[in-house]
Amino acid sequence: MVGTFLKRFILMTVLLALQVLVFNHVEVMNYATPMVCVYFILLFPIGTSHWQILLWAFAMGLLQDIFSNTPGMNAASLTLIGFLQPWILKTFSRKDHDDNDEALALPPSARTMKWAPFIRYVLTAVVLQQVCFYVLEAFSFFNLQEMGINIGGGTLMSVLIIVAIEGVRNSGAKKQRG
Amino acid sequence: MDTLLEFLRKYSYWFLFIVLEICSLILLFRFNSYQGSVWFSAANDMAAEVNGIYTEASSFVQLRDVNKQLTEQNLRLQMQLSSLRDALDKTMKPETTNDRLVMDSLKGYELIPARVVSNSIVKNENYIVIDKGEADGVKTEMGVVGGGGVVGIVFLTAAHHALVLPTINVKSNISCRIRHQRYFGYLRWEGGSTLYAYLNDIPRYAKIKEGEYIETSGYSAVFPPGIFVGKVKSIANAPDGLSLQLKVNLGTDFGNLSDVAVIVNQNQPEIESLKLKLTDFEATDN
Repeated sequence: MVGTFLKRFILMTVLLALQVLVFNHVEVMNYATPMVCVYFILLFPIGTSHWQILLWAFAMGLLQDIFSNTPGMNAASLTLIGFLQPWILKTFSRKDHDDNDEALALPPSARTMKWAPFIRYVLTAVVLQQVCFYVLEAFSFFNLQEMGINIGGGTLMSVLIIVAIEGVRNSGAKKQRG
Repeated sequence: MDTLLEFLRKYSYWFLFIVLEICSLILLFRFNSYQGSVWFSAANDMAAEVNGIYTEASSFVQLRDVNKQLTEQNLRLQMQLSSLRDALDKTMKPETTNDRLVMDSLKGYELIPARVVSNSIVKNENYIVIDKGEADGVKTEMGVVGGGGVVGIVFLTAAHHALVLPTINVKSNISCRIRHQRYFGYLRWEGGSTLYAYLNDIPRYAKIKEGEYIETSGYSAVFPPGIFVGKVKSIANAPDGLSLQLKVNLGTDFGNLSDVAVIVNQNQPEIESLKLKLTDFEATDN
């Protein structure tokens, strides 16, 4: 229990540091800024209590807001993702598993879910998060085109980076087992 | 109850989600000037809209009260208008010679001015109601006069109103005389036109011409002598053949009577007590 908490805390700190120190300064063509914090929320396994996910998601969002000077925007969007994560995960997880399959209790990953469903899972969550974030940031639908470019670019960058991190972690896990 | 608690427990994360989102939005609006201003103006618009709807609704609900107030005000204004119109009429109406003569003949008597509030002229037993009663000093058997002369005698009194038996009631019986002569008789009304009454019991040898004035004789405690009653219209023999019957054109227009005065006879209590003594004396005598 304490081990899980510590692991999550470390992952959160690492992702936050990456986001704040690196990705916040990435602005491809002035538009696409990757947001990788959502990856942290996607790693909660099926069966985790809603309370826990929501609180972690809110804390993550709040910290990111504090360091990026965007009060409320990330907190709101990540809390939304934390709220929806169990349903999104259920939609994309493998249907052929039994309920007592141990893979279900593990954090979702490309290894347990296969790559295609995992990417769809990540894409759905990232799109939702980006839409929520940019709607709150613009706070009007006056300039829909710019908002669309922001969301599209941000989604693309975020998914690419999350898949890359997932790949790195996957290979690391394989090495550990091998 | 258990089901409700179970439901709340199962979906408690919904509340947590809502609370966290609200916290996020508070942060968003509080610490971002742009979003804060958009939210502020939108909230202002919303509040103004809601206030507008509320005001309209409440004014619609208050229409009944407003209507009542307006009706009351209308009534009050109409009453004011009518009293002002009366006052105007009174000041605009020129005083006739007849009025002045009647008032001259009443000089030295205490008068209680009164208004006619109810009047009838078409029956045989007509009555007039005036707006002064015992509280104002009006008592039964007091004479009532108007601008045109004698009106009648107070018959019954209440606290603030009095019933007057006018000349044009078949029960009325007023002692009258012919001006500048000593002949007197009793004025009676026999129904029909309110313009004419009859003066009976005038001796046949009296030399009377048409157009002579009839006035009160002063032989009763009710009217002082010399108050104008009417003019002789025509002279005829009484049905009994022993006296004359004069048709009198009454000075008072009963169909158009509004302001009258009650004559307070200072001697009346004295005369009444004398009469009472007489009754007592007769009772003991018997």
